[in-house]
Amino acid sequence: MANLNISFSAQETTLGPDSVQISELNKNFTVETPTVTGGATVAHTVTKTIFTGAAKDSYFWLKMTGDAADTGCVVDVAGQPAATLRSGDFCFFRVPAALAVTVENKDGSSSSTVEWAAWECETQVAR
Amino acid sequence: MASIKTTLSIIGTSASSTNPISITPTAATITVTDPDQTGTLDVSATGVSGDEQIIIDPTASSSTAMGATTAGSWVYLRNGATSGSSLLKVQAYLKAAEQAGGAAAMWVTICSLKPGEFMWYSPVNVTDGGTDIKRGCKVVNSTATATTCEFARFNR
Repeated sequence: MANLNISFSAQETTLGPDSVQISELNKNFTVETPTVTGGATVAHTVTKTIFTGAAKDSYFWLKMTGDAADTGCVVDVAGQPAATLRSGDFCFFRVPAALAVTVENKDGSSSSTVEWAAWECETQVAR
Repeated sequence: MASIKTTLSIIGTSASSTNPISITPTAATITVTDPDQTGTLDVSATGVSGDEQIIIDPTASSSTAMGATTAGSWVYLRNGATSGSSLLKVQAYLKAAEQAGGAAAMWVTICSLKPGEFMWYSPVNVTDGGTDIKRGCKVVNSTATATTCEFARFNR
């Protein structure tokens, strides 16, 4: 068992009253070990499984590190589209137990690269 | 149009000595367009009016503030409870060919958030779905415990 200390912030730089500032600082999520990490190159128009799922839910971080055409990739959970990422984008969400994460490269000619990490949650919740 | 600097730091403590992983920090600056929206939504207990709240409405036009857009969105969601048993299901609106639930477009749960948990992602946009549907994002309380959903939504 281990703890994840997670901080997330989104700081909008704009003038005016609607500037958004989000800070999630030093949140502790309890996880099981070991952590699973990986990276992958996804060829154009290919759908590739990058994470096969865990016995329990997982906290999942994914970043697209390269996408020459910047067309973007779709992140699927259990084959169902969940998110879209372009080059440099990252996402963080909870993946339900035993469900695989795949990346669909939507570009017709350029490959994309991704990095990811998954931490198995201490508890599993109903999907 | 505005810029948002996003950072995410994940540090494992008391982790297995064989595989301690820390990510410090992941940062990205994204460009967004107005309007952005933030707030806290009351999410009633399951079966009670208000037990679900729409963040991105798939039936709204792309020019509508809460509607899906062709360029897509960034969404931050957090189960506002700090303790207890509430569970927020996060749902996406997917067309029939993308899910196994039915013959028509419908809401599909992609994950759930326990009290205090949050997520940051860019929901699949209209372009990725073709022309037959809009896209959406919704949270549903699947427990008998009322909670809140803190959210922020930005147009890409």
